[in-house]
Amino acid sequence: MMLKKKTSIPAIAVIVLIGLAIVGFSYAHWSAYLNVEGEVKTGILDAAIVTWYCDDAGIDPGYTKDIAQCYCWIDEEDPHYAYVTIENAYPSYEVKFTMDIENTGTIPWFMLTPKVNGITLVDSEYVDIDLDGDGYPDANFMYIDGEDKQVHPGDFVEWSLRIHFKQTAHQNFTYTFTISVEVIQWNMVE
Amino acid sequence: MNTKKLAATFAILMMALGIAGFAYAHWSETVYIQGEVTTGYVDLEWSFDYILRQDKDVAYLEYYIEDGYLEVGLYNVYPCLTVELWIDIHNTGTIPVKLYDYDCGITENSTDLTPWIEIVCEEFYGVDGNGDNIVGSCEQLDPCDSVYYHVIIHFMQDDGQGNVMPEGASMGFCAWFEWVNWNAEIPA
Repeated sequence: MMLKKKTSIPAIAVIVLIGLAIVGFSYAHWSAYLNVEGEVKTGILDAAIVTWYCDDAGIDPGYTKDIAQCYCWIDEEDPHYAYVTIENAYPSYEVKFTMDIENTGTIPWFMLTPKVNGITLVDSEYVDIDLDGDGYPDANFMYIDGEDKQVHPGDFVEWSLRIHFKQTAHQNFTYTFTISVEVIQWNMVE
Repeated sequence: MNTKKLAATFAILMMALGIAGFAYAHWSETVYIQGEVTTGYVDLEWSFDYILRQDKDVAYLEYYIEDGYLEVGLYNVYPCLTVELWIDIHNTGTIPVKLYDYDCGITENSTDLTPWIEIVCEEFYGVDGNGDNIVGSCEQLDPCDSVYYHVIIHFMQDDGQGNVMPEGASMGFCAWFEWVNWNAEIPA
């Protein structure tokens, strides 16, 4: 009889432990979740040409006669593009252009130095450009202002460009060129 | 290649990409201006005409004109002969021009009869594209405009110093004109 009692105590303990474990297992599932639902909308970096004109509306700038003609317009469907056509240009003909680029995005941006056919211009200095690749510069371009200005959404930057034709330009010839102006997000300018 | 080298190469590659990624990781937008320029041209045409005032076909004139060069030969001339010359220069280009340089002289192998030549009348006048006279200076010649040189010369028997005009002489003279675009700087 005594031997029987000694044997049942551990068994009861085991049963209790198992029971507690079961209860404990049940309690280990009590929890609370704090859910954070995230939604990120990125901004838009965009620019549009809103103004583009030249100072030759008749009499050639600096002269007394209307010899060359200059026409400027902005692409109505895509304001990332503007166009200029100059007719009957001649050596020493010089024309000044003005452009406003508006920040049509939601992120401030900086305007970088314009490039002509991939050649970076220099602020307030003429840069000779060989437009037809014959080894002789046909015109020189000067970029004025516009750089290092932070433009906020809705604002615009105004900058100017001068084109001066050189004596080495060919007569009765058609030159084409592309000017590119890049703007980059405001916090990436060194 | 052992494992360490592979790991080092991989690490360097990752760093390089990281740096490049940092540099390129900006948003940008580009606007473009497409330009087209057509240049004008300077071009002139000129013509020459003449009259020998004589009752008989004795003296005669021959001329050669090409580009900016004019050569005139007067043959079998004699005292009291009067010759009228017209030179018409027409701007056929698209740019106004101005006279940059010119010269004239006696051609080779000819007798200089200028001491016996008297310029009776020399006119210089301009006409615009509508045929109206150009008021003021003809220093600049606009496209479609023309200038005319009208010269009347008279061969004299005596050069004023008692020298009689040589017989059997023929005289040739030439002239050339260089025109440049109107706004070119001409050295003083």
